[in-house]
Amino acid sequence: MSKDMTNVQKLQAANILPTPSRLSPSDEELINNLDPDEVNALVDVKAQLGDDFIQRNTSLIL
Amino acid sequence: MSHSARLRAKIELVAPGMHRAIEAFWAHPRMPEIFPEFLYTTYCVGRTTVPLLETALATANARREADPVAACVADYCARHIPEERHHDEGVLEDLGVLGVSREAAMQRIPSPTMAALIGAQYYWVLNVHPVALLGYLEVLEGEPPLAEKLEEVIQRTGLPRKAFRTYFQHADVDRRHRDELRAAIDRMPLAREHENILAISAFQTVGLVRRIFEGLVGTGVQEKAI
Repeated sequence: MSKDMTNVQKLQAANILPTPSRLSPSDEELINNLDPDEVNALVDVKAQLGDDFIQRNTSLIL
Repeated sequence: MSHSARLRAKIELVAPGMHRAIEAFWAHPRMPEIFPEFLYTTYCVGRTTVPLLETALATANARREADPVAACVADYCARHIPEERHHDEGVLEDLGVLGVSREAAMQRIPSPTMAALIGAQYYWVLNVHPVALLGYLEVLEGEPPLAEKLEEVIQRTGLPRKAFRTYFQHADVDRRHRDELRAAIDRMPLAREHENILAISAFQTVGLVRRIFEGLVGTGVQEKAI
């Protein structure tokens, strides 16, 4: 991946984020401020940052 | 933004897929059939918590003189270990309510996904930094179960309340554990690399927990192991 790509673009290229991403500005800033190791980890674990992430389902029981 | 808030924000990037898998589990129409499998999974995680904390404690103590973050991790683990003791025994008792003997649970071989979930933490703690374990704990203890949700599941499924004893305890205790964990993270003089391994450990934990719950939902079509 090009070093010139933003983190959002890298995650889109890896199919971790949908294109277009429809991210809020604050989420886009959070992602673009992640370190390369963190971005690589998201790709490596095949993280799901699709529509679920954008809709922010926060109910959880564990 | 505090260290713990930043970690939580990163976890929220990846958590919805895990939330969806967990919700699918709790809404499963054959919950009475798959609930023992869930408790077994809980047992598998619970029995490793104290050994993991002890490993992190020993590793952190070994480097505490030269590493103030490790010193903070050691102090946190030392305080937290007594709180986690015997939780696995409680889950074995809950399984017993459902007719699963403790011998059957203890002798069964867990899934490779479970081994990956726990084994990863040993790797991070021993080879990168013991603070990694707190990323794992933030995922597992960061969103405690709600007692009213458990009540709803009991009403809907007819499962015996006694089988939820450990989970009701978690509904009470995990809120305090979560607050203590976040306070401990916020007291640490974390550098960028510490924040990175916290997040990476958490990302991996979210992914593996999601896979475990997806597997539980598929349990109905698999051969029962216990």
